[in-house]
Amino acid sequence: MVLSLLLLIPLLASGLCFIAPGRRSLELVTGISTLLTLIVAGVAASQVVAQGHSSGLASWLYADALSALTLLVVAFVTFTAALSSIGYLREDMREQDTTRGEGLRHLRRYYVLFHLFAFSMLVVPLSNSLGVLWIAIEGTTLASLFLVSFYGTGEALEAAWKYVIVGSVGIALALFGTILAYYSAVQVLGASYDLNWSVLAPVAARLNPGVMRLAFLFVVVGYGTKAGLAPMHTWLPDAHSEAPSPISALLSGVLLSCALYGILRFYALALPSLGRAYPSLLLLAFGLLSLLVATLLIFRQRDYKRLLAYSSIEHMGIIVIGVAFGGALGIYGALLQVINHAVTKSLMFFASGQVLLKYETKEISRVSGVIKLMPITGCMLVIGGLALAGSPPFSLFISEFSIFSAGFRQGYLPAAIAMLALVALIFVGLLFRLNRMVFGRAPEAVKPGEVSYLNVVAMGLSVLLVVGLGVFIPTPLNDLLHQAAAVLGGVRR
Amino acid sequence: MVLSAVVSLMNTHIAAPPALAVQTLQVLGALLLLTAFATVAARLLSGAIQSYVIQSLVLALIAAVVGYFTHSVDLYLVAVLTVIVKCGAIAWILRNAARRLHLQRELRPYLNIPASLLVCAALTLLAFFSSPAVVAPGTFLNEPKLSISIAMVLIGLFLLSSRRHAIAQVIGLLTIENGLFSGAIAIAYGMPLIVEFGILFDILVAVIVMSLLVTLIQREFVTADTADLRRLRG
Repeated sequence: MVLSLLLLIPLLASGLCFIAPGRRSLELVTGISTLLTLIVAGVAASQVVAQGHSSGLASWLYADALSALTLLVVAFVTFTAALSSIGYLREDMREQDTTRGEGLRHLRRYYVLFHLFAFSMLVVPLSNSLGVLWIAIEGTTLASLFLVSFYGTGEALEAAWKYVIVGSVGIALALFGTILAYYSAVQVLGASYDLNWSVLAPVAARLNPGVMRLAFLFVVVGYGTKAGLAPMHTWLPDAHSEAPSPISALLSGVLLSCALYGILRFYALALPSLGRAYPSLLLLAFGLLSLLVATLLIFRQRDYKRLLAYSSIEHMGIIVIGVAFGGALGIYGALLQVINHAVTKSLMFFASGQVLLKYETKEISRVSGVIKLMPITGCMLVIGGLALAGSPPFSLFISEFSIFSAGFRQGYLPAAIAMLALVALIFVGLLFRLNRMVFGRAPEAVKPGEVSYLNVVAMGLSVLLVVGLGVFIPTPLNDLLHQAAAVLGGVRR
Repeated sequence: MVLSAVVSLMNTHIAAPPALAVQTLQVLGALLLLTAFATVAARLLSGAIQSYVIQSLVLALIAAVVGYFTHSVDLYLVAVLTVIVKCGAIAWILRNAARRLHLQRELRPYLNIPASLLVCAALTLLAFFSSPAVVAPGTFLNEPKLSISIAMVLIGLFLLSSRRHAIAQVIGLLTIENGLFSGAIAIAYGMPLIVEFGILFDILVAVIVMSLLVTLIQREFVTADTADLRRLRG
């Protein structure tokens, strides 16, 4: 019941945006519906914590702790991104007439697609069938494509084309993985079932290991493409830098998490038949390569949105490394990292939206003195930057530290040390750039003052979690994390 | 369910598949591969689109034949929908998009057509030597061979990476998808029905969205040659 409601809200919102008469009503629908989604997601998550799992719509929908966790991340970032979108677009389209004609059509298209995008990302963690999971992940690409190309410039169109082609090839490989998994299940269950997780999980140990090995490989490469794992990450920096900032926040914070969810779901499915060694090795290799690529390219970036995009590749790498290290601690850390990365990265993209609107450039070298012109945004950039780089006392430090110590404890000493070294390099690269942007002389031609206060509210909500989760993790969330870790084989001893 | 009879056949290995079924599917499988080569060989976009339509038709026939021999109503439905969506809607959209473009063929492909065909032949050999290990013994029909599907996926990937025309790249993507589709039929008699519907729907939307994007790209860059898309680096 709750789960169906959760999907109904964004669909309805999208429909309402389609017929809404003007800018005000578009904004109202967007704000209210995303807040409702967040509340309902909270209710659904608390149900899952209490009962272990929850299902709906004639077993088409199914949520366990892992889904609930992803759900919360999606709902939270969608809400803050909705607030940010309203503020960002008001400012961005200031010169256009948004009451009618072309301007309103542009605005309407943004909000209709925004809710469809949110819908597709909510279907991902909620779908019981691995086939529907695939359809939903493909759906996220299609819904977000015209959000990425929103500005219609040459660069934006190029980014969108790359995004759809690379993404579709990746997703096709994941489909092959899904077909193979289906095939290995048909051998056990017969052909009359629906590829449902709730049916597959109990027989996972009996699946043909040879076929599952291949299936998992294809799924990691396929969904890994959408999750931004190197070397399949090539679409990611372009799409993140060309999309409007609230959309970049959604892409980085939740789209990547949704694709990762696909990998984690198959990891849980492959674990009983394959054992830990092979899946972990695969994830470890992709994780370390992503970290390496991100480190090398972060030092070359001149565009601050691309900088943040490469930092996303880094964090996705750290998350899969955490899963590969395994043990209760490693998986707990990886899942915590999913939450922390989503809130921190969305915070940074909201802040970068403010900077972009103020300075009208994405080049790092042409931005300085943000803290003098926009004190709040400047502070957010400092906090978010320190958090992304992994310094205490922020939440990402806790999760990265957990993953690192899991590496030691599980006997992955060289990998753990390599990870530490790369993270340290990124620390330098990231903070050096942000330091230049935040401090220094402010240009005199630009008027001081925050650009959009709704954007500030969105940043405020995110920063609450960035700082709060670093100090204290509330008991219900902690329970949820432990239960989700148990789904992935990380049982607390 | 309808398929329970088939499942019992699969599990106990009682009946060998009817020879007629195997032969029909072998012929259709060969045709499928041939059409993939035809998309590579086509000089004009319209030719490549035509090959894709025939390819989808063959695929639908395969689904129907497998459906007939396994008594699966689901596969008949899949066959009908394949014809409607792929041979009908997608072909129409692609032709329309291609007509709006100034460029009707590859001007300067990264690799000329004879060389492309050679590469594709090599890819096919690779697929035939690498794939038998995947299918476990005891699969009832196992036709068309999975190696054909894998060859199609590889040919699609090759089209995607060697062609510069945006529509040619879309056809590459569609070839990959047809390959996967035939693979699903070959080894598992298709996916669950609702999943097949969803996949077809997704592909349809993807083609619509991509052809819209191609139109926008042409308006902005005055070409649909993706090699001109190179402003974003690093």
